[in-house]
Amino acid sequence: MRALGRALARIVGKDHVFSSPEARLVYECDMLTHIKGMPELVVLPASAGEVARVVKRCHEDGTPIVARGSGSGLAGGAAAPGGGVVVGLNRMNRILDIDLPNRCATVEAGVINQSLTDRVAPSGYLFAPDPSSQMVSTLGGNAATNAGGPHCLKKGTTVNHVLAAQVVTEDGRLLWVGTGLREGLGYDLAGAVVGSEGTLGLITALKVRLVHAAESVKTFLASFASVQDACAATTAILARGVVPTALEMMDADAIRIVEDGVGAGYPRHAGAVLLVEMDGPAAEVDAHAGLAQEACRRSGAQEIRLAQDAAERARLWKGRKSVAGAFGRLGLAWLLQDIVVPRSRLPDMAKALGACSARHGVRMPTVSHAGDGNLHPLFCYQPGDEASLQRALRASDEILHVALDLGGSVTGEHGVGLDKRDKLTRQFAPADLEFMCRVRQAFSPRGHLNPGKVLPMGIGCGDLLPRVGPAEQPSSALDGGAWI
Amino acid sequence: MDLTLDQIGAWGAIVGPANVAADPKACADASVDGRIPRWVVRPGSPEEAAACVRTANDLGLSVTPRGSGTTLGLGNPPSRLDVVIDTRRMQKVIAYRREDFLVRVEAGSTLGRIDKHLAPDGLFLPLDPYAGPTRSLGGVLATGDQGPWRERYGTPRDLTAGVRFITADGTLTWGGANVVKSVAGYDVPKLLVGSLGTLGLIVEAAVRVYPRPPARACTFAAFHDRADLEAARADLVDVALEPDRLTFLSAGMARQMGIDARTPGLLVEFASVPAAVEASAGQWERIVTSHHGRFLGVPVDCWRALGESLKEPIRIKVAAPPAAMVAAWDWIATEAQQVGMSSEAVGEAGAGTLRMGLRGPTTPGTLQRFVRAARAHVRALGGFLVVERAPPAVKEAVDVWDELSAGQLQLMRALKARLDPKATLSPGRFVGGI
Repeated sequence: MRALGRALARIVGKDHVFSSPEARLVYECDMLTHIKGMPELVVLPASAGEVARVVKRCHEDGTPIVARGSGSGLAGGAAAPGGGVVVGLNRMNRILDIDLPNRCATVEAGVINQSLTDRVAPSGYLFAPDPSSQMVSTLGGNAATNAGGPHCLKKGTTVNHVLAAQVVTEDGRLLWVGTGLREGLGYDLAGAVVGSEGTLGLITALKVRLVHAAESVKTFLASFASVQDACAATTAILARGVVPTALEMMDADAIRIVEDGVGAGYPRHAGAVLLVEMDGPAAEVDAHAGLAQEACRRSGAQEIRLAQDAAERARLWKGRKSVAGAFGRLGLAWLLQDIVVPRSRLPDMAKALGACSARHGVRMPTVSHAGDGNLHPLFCYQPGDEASLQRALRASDEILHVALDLGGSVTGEHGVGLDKRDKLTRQFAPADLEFMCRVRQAFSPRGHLNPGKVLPMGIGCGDLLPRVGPAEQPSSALDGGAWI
Repeated sequence: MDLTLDQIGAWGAIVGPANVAADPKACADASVDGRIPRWVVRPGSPEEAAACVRTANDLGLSVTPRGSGTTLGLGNPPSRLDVVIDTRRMQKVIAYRREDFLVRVEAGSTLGRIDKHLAPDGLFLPLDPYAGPTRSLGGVLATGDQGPWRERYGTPRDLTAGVRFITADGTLTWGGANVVKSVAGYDVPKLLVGSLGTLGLIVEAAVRVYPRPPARACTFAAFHDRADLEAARADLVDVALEPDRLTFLSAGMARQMGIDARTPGLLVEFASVPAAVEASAGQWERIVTSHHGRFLGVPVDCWRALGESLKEPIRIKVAAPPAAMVAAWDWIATEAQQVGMSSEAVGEAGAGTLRMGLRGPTTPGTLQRFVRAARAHVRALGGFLVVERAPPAVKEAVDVWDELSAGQLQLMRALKARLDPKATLSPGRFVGGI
């Protein structure tokens, strides 16, 4: 490893290679802090060319590679439980080209999501995917996990906005996949690489779509006596032919935690709230906001608060976006779920959550992208209390299986990483996983790109992939500061 | 491999004798680029289809899927053509709940049939490829084709949440999810969509559907000057307007659709609540007027007519940066004229995808030179050109697909080799002879 370190230092400069345990400590996990794995080396290249040389050198050495952006991932995708080299891409943060006539931009992988929108906003454009981590997460990381966000209900997730990706292959070749146009040629390699969590190639740059900002935006908060009523309202809004830009739900516990934490002005005693945002042509937004409010009222809304200006809208969103921070003040630790159910099954899921919480005695406030059927229950436990942790784990696992029984998915936007890897056998048949394994082998014959992630061990051709030990049991709290 | 009665019997045992054809007429009807298959089999279920693929793969026979057959001319001539699997008996709706905004149907269902199923709930499937309603969903996904609705709703790539397909060795496989948002495992639907039946035979798909907007307004604006047309197009995409469809038409194409046009123009549709449609149309009118455009009357069923267009014996698809599409059309149309061909064009003007139908007295040699010149021009603009339909003699002389980088092609070949090692599925038709 020392020889490899020296070789990599010759590529990226010795100031950009970390080998001491102290310097590597921060790289042992991402925001899924209970699963750890420290790399043997960390390198921070400055260009795609350097990344390619680093990967090539590691390939010659037989050393696995883990790509990393800001480390705000929630599935353990950036941890290195098998050791190897972490390639941090944050120094590659240049916006290479803005092409407004063709509504696209070319960026290096380390560019922060929000900074691209900040750059094009004065011209009336934005980069649509807006994960809650957008102030810190990189576009390369967003692409690797196919990040969503509250507004992906109308505008789609990251993959819908990637026109091409520059990748470094397992053996260190640098190439663009995808045409960079809105039309494909050959297999959709860019579509496969996006969301593959660094297992099919290291993304070093992206060509992404930009969209024009809407003419009008309206946001309202509706409060309900119960989660069931809020679920019914969600269905009723969609049934009226309205597809909001965002349709978010918080339950009673989440509301109180946020109010205690940041005081966003949410109705403290409500059983649930919906945060609904519409954008588009002004007349459409007015009409749809009216329809959506009517749907809420008919579903038993107790109060509807329509933001009158941008400041009030920001305040309403502050409540939703402060969830993680507010939870941090409770002194509780939590396990985060990212399940999806068909939208028609939201009421069933709500019932299951309530029953599960009562049965296991686990506090589980829930925030959801209700419009997508994507729920984030937080299974709370006492840090250091093994029994309480085990209860939370059991409850979390049970809810995940309920989601699958309802026809859903184990992860909507956070990714598989290490966290959900072994759950895929519940969602997919062996033949389905075998197909994915073959895809991985085509891109990465040695399985040295982010080894042990995404695909479960011990299935079909998965046995050919290098084995990386099972995820460790949680040992410490996921303390506040994650973005959900 | 010899054609034996035993093999015909084998197909019959799987799909029933009535659903196997080996006679010259039926096989000729299923020909691809003039090549005639030995059998046409019509499975009635995904399980039957899987058994057919497994049998073919075991016997070393190639399998070429077909749906409605409208787009079988896409791609290189097949390098082998043994069994054509016709998916049209598989038409079941597998799962559908209105509130899910997702429908899961078998691949042989036509777009028209799916739409009929959704219409009572006020929903629709926003796919409008050329020859639209008669095309099968499986065929549309396999070709990745989409028409003007892409401006608002995206392409099959964006609309497909899950696919059930049969791998080369005959295994029924599922990829993706039954929900609109999932990142569990690899995005397998992305690989199947647009792969022209070379990685798997799609037998079922879960696709997103949308509420049908209550009002629509469709206008055609004609322009004398190409620069004015492009300026109006550029202005339209550079404001907050959200058209449903934004389509460039050559003058002749506009006339085919019943519009009394002498010059090319833009066919633009807004769809929303009535007040928004009216406001958007008004804003578009001001843009058109400021660029010296003129509105012409549009028949109500114009989009249906567009779907029936582009029937010329030669059809090319140009993908260009959107701002360069009109210029690319201008250059290619002029070049076609110089070699004695007439051309008509339809372009998705926000996306930069242009299709041109070509007709006229020309030799394969001339056509070959024309395609080379047009391709070079388009490539210089940052785009690429695909020959979507041409007589076999022409296809022998030009690469119907455009050139891919060596690195990309290597990855694509690696995928094919891992997923279909015996080259059972649609051999030879795809990029690089995959």
